[in-house]
Amino acid sequence: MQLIKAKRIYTVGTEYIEDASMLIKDGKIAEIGKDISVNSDVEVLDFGDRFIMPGLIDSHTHLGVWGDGEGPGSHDGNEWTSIVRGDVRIWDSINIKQMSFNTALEGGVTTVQVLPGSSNAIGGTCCVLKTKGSSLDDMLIKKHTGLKGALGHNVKRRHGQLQNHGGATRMGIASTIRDYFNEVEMYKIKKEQAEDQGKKFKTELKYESGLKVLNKEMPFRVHAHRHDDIATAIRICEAYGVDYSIEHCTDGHLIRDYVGSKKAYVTLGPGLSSSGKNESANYTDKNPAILHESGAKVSLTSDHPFLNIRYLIQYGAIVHKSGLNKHETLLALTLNPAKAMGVDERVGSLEIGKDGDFIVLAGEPLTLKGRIEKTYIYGELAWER
Amino acid sequence: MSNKNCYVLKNGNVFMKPENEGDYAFVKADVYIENGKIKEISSDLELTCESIDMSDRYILPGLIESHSRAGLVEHGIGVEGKDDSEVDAPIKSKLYAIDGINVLDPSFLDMKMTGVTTVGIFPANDNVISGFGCVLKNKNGVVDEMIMTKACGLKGALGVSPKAACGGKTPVTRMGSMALLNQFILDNQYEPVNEDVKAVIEGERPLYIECERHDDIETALRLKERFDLDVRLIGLSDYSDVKRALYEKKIPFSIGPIMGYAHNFETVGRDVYRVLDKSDLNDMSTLCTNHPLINCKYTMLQGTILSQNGLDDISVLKMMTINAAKFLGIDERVGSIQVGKDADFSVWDVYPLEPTANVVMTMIDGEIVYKEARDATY
Repeated sequence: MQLIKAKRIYTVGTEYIEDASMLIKDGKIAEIGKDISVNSDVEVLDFGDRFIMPGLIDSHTHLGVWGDGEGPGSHDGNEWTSIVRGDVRIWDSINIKQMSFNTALEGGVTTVQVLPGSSNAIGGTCCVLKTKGSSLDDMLIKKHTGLKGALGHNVKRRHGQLQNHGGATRMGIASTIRDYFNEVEMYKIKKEQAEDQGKKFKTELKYESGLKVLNKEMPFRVHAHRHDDIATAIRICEAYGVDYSIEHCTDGHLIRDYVGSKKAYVTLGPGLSSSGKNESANYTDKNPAILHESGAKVSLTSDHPFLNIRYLIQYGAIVHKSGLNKHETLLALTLNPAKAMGVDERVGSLEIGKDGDFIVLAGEPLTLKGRIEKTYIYGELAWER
Repeated sequence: MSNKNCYVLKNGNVFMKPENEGDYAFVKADVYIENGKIKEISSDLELTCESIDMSDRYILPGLIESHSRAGLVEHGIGVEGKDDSEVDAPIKSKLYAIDGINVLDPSFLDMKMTGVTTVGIFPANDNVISGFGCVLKNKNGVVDEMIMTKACGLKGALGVSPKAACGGKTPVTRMGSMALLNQFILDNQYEPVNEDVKAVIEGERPLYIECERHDDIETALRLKERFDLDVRLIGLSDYSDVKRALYEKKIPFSIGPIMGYAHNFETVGRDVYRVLDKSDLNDMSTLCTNHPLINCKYTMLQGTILSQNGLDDISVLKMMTINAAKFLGIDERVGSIQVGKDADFSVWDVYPLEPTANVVMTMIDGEIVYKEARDATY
């Protein structure tokens, strides 16, 4: 049991408690408030004039699968040998000893979702994990947190141009995804029939992931930069009645009212990088502010490695400067992605019952002084400067 | 014409070196501009021309991007806009970056909006020798009208990039790269391919070498000793392993992009910000984004990160201004707010290293090239 004290604790977004205390028991927040009385044997961590906020959350990363500091031998994010790979699961690729996890802790990121890459129209199953732990199982919060899909340039290039797998055009990719879900619907019927009749049934990994999506057990997470790809993603997801998030949503500001009217989950980023490819040419730092105003549910992402995850909070500062108010910016770095991943009962804010994941800053978040000094997970020191 | 306009930037917090020496600092002052040059700096000037109120503003010299591929790798185009690397052979000493730059690329507007007034543009690191870099003023015009230095120095590279780029042709090892580089210098000592290369071989103009790993950095230093070249280094992920040598030998260097990630073995140490310390920076140490690796519009944000990691603010701001000017060999004209220098400024609404600071005005040669319009969309 530990009692954490600080000048200010941000609980949810910019809501805060001044001269605050937080009691952590078995890794969870047991109490939070101004004056908490505890027995004298409780360890007290007094951070003095420092600021505390929830650990950051990045709902779109490739941590541990992209070969940071290792090179092509560790490229384990895209099983690109065919365009539909509903069978692969990202946790079978993650190297938890890779330097990117330490990088995340340095950037104050305590929870991430890891997604397969965007080479395939159907890319595989995602999972959510803490950024520190002794084993992958120890770090995992939740498996099956989404099925990755992709539209546009990356699929066209990989499958249409390099390999001639089909998917050379946008309509080809859309048709591939529809074919997939149609097959999943057939699979679902056959599986249910077999179960009804008590018959032996051959489980197909390729369709099991799609089945979870059709059953709304996890969302379809669609990589879409361009406005037409975003519209296509929504068109397909609505046709099959599945939950979805738009990953990147770079052109969202061009169709702000449409995206807003869907109240869509959008994962925006990576920021701070440049747009080499045509489909991200309309990138603007104002996208998060515009889409929030339009009604979309905004999360910010580093898309690590495409922006080093260490600088997620700096991306937040730039987004704030570009028009998203501070409360919403902090939410987009914490509670919003937690909700988008369905883990907000455990992380994303500092409230009773949630995990004791927090960061200690030297000043107010999103300012020059607000550098991250320490990162805690389950109330335990995971990294310090 | 327009650059004959005279202005007084009145009552700003000016980043400059006070006349009675000492280091750079923010000083309340009026800056008097005439014919595109800084004519006078004082705190009680007679106003004889247009005055721009700079109370509460922070005035820095125009920022200088020391190493980028702005306009060589174009925004949002892909292959059609990629003109930074010619990989048919490992030695390409007759290439000039100026011949590949699209000055209408949006990165130049982005840089105006973020206070960058001078840009060093170099070919990529795919060749042992990849061609001549140039320095542009970021004003509107044809590239030839923007040019400050047409061939500021020759660009080379060591390490994995030149090994991998030429598709199985030599070099495929580090020793292969160095054999080519040594022979290139010997050939040109005997018979230079042109005057620009001759100047480099004779040590009169820099050889800029992009390298990341400690052994490649040491190899570059060995080359400098052997041929007495003006070697300047770019990249330097392994800075912490070699900083003593760089400091002792007074090697100019440009670190960056510090916000990048380690895309291979070589760049594992890319978080060099950890070890940057005023005491081991020389007065030519600078920062780069290596645009497009990190977008050149986030130049100041890289400075913010250095400051947040403990480097003192004055050193950080010098790295982006006067030190970058020295690195590119243009410090007689730009890089500081000093009488006689070009009237290039970036004006900030709040303390410029705040991550939320905005540029409210950018001036080049006494002309306003950008003024904040709050509602601008682009």
